[in-house]
Amino acid sequence: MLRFIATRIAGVVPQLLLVSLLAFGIVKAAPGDPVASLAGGVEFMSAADHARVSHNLGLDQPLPVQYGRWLARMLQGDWGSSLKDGRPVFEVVARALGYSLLLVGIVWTLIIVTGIVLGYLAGSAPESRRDTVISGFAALSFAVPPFWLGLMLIVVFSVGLGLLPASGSARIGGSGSLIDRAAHLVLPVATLLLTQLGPYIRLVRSSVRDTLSAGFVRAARARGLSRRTLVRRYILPNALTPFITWAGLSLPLLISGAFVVEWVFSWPGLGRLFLQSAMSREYPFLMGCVVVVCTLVIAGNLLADCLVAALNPKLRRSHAGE
Amino acid sequence: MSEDLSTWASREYRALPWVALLQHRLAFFGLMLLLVMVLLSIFGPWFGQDPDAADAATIDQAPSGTHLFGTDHLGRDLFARVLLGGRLSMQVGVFAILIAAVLGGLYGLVSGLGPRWLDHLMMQLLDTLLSIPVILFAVLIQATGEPGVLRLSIAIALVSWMGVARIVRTECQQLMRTDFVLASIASGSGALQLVARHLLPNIARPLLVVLTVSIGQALILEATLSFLNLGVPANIPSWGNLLGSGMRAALSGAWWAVLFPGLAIVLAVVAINFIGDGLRDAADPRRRLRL
Repeated sequence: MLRFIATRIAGVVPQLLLVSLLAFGIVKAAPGDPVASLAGGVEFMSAADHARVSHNLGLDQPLPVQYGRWLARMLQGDWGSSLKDGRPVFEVVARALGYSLLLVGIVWTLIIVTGIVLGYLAGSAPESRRDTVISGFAALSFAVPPFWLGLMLIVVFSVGLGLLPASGSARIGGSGSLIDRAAHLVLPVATLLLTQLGPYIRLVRSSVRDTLSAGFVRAARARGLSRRTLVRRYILPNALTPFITWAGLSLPLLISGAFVVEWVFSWPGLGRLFLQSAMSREYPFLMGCVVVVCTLVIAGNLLADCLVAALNPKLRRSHAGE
Repeated sequence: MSEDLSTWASREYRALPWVALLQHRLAFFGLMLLLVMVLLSIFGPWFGQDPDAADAATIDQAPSGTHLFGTDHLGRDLFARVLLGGRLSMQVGVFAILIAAVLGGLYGLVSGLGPRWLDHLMMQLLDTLLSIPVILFAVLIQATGEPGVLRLSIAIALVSWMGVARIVRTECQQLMRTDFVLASIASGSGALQLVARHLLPNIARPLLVVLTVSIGQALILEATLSFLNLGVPANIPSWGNLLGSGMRAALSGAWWAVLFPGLAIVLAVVAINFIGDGLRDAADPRRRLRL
């Protein structure tokens, strides 16, 4: 098992490098002069000043050198500071990450539980009315843009009924009580849950369906085992193995789904920070967000791989080449 | 006689998926719904009210007989604007996926037919690209340039081709092991002939399924980026732009400014997904038998 994990981690390193290269490359390819934008435009800067600032920021070096320096600084935790107001990138990104993990963590837990329950309910009674309703809901959740559902929930529950807050993570100037914070989470969590649940339900449904018709389940049923034992010992463990991979692999979908939802609800997470930085061309923040999100995603994949290998010895051996 | 029968049978076989698609209840419903939406957005703006006619007397009016979807903050008729917006959104969606099909198709062919080390390398790259969240990728591309319709289509294509590449590559590798492909190689057909006569026709069906579903995802992506002001320039109505400019009005109570453009997106994507489901079932004889 250790050997398997080591191989997988070794495979992750080039992935991380590639991601960092991509983040660096796209931002470098951007038009616009970050040095000139510091002063509000090229016309506000003398050529000598421009050269001096470029030199101070290391922007006059060849690109591979800039990349190497940037990577070395990133690894040391020095992520630079805002080009405009000097806020340290690492701290701002870390703070936003905390808020994002809170939101996505709650949604993820809820999604996994509801996904398993609804998927099981649908898959254990194929073509029934129950199945039709649940599958219909799943199909709909694929088609609804998350940010639009968020807007509609705001329109109904905040603007219309005045029940729940529409933006932020706590009431401004409030005491920041737990109830207040929870109230601010309700709408973003509901939005994400309703729009991201579809694939989870579908996966559990089809794999429960397949497992139910498998020979070993029929054999177990023939032996007269109770339905409870059947479900808990035979059906769920087998039906959920693909689900575990998916739960790890789906992290990018969930994080990117949360991006625009954070924006709509002004939730102070990574997504909002990223979109704000994209709009105001704050390159250091953009790069910081890209690196954090992609690292999370790759870590999620790695975790899923290891979990599945732990559950399925066959896979472990074939991967380690034993 | 036997010759007649065999041509009849082969024609029948070719027709079957289309028959199956039309007999697939949900797919038929989706096809009709999409047809209506496409026709409305092509021809609607010519017959209905002027989507650009601002009127100070009708600012932010709720839906009524004269303005089915209400009016926006400049008093323009939202029904006409949603129809016009559909034109652009669907154009962008289809165009983006066509580019993605070419990109992904080429990548998949090279990876599927090339030597093993190249295939390995290209799949590793694909996995890494797939691990970057779509929205992150698309926003990065869009944030580094000025908004424009062509640029947006290319950006959506650049984040959508990976699924196509994977399907093409997998199907290629499976087909290369089949007897009829081996026979064709043995009888001396070149790479081009192989691809054009044997590989592409056999990949077409699974490819069509992926492309159909991708168009739906492209519509959602267009809406998201335009909503964030990172897509189509704000002066051109698209479903995403209408949502972006309607947000402020909606926050002060004008719910119709965001309800209808959003519903249009949902309906279009649902219709496209139903067609995709139908195509998938039609392409799979085992499922077709169950219908």
